[in-house]
Amino acid sequence: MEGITGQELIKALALLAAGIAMGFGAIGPGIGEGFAAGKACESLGKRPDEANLITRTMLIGQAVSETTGIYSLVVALILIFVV
Amino acid sequence: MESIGKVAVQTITFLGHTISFNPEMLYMTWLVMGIIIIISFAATRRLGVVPNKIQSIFEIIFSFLEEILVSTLGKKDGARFVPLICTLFVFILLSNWIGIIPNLFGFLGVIIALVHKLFGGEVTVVVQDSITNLMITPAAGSWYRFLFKMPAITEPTKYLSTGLGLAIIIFMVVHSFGIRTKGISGYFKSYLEPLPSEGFWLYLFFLNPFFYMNIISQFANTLSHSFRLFGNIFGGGIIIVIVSELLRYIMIPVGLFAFFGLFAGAIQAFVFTMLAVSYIAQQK
Amino acid sequence: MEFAKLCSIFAAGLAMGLGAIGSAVGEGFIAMKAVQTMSRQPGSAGKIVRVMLIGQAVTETAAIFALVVSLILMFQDVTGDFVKGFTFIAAGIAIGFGTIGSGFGAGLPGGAACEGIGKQPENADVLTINMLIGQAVSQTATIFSLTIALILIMLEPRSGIVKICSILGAGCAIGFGAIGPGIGDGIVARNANLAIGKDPANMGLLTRTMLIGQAVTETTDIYSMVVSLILIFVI
Repeated sequence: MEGITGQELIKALALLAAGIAMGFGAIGPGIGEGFAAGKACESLGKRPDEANLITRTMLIGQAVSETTGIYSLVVALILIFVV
Repeated sequence: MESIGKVAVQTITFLGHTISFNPEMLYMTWLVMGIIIIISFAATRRLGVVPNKIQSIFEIIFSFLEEILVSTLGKKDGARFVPLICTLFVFILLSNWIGIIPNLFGFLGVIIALVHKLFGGEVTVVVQDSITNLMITPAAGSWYRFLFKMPAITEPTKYLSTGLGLAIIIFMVVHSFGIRTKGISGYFKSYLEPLPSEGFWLYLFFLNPFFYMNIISQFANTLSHSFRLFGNIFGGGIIIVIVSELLRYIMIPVGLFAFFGLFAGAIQAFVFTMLAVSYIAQQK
Repeated sequence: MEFAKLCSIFAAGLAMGLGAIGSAVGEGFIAMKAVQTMSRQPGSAGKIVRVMLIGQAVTETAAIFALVVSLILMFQDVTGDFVKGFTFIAAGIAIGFGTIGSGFGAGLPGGAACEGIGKQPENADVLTINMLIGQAVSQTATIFSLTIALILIMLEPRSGIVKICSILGAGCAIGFGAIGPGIGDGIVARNANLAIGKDPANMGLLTRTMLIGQAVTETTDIYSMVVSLILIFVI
């Protein structure tokens, strides 16, 4: 294999870092969103007449829990395309 | 197996611009649209109080989705979105299910070619690595050659463009609905949540980190909406191709077709439609 | 031995070794809940055992996916250079870590179904159907991992350290990214099954909400898949 320039090494490690950032960044939001939706199902079982309110709150809660996942996505895309 | 990850590209030149597109996806989308138009035309020809078979299937889908829409969006707004949501559901459902139809044209072509060869016709048969993997090429002038050129029947949702196109339609519907219900200022203020949007907070919107987060999350919604459909159908297709290849096409993995084609196809059509409904409902 | 062959054997071990964790824990969870419920309600033992076995069979899907990848990696004829070896390692990481979440997640609704049958044995059919839907959707994370792993195995990459790192990054992204959503999907299905076990009249509403909740939970896994596909095909 021919020599590796510093520029190439930076690019390569940035790509690896992008994968690791997105991979580990997805663990927390996944479990957290699962808790939100799980509790929503539980309370829906108790109060089925409040289905609209519960579903809306579940979706908003999941959207906010997902924020850190979106941070990871943004960081990964920056690492891929900008660095 | 080499075909995985590659799509057919056809290029046409129109008024000096080169337009490239995926012919398989386009043909299959038109096929699904044609089937839906024919079936719905046939179903609405003789409407009766006692519904016939096709009519009752459509009525079940319609009343199921209408009930969900009216309960989430209210009577007036819910009724307005029923045609869009029902069409979306029927289109995605049929698109996901059409992939389980085997490649009839190719099969017919192979049978005709083999019979033709049996009676001394000009057909090249190349045995690749086993008897189940034949490469059959008919002669240039034979009449059944068009059967080999027909595209195999695949799901149009297997390609990202279909999902992305549908998700962009939903994106535009959602945001125009949001502007219409909240007004332009209300729509803009909804991006500043959860920080307050009165007084000087409104003028400092560019310092508000949630403003940028909300904008990114709207685009991320559309991204995940389209990739969810694409990933499931594409993944199922790849798994079926690989397993069939491992079984050398002697056996067809019926269970996998039933799971990925029928079950996952129905679930993904329902999930896509329901997420569209809940994105619309969030703008109320 | 060639480097690529070495890597494929190493990756086969990685895939099956890691891929067995999640399903084993999930199946153990179902058995634990089944035994607990049976000790309280010995009368409905037959129904509980049946649901337990169905649930365990579906929970095993994740490990079977890992087995398929592992067998392909072990027995295929490897031709390729230095870089090709890294695609095998990335595929092993993708499917190995990717099955942990779904395997464990699919166990959770199975346990909940056993508990529900213990409380009201006449709901067994409703609970089994909902358990199967919940478990099947929980496998989505593994299916994404499997897709990326198979693409990686078939890939013919160009050489260079940039491509090596991007392939490894793609494997890490989908592999680790599937853990959380897999478990999260299982939690949603578990709570939905517990609620149905208490009051089966709401099944339609609960199944619907469960599907939406699971679909949104998978979003981060979809981001991981997007990043993986970009790293494989665009870079």
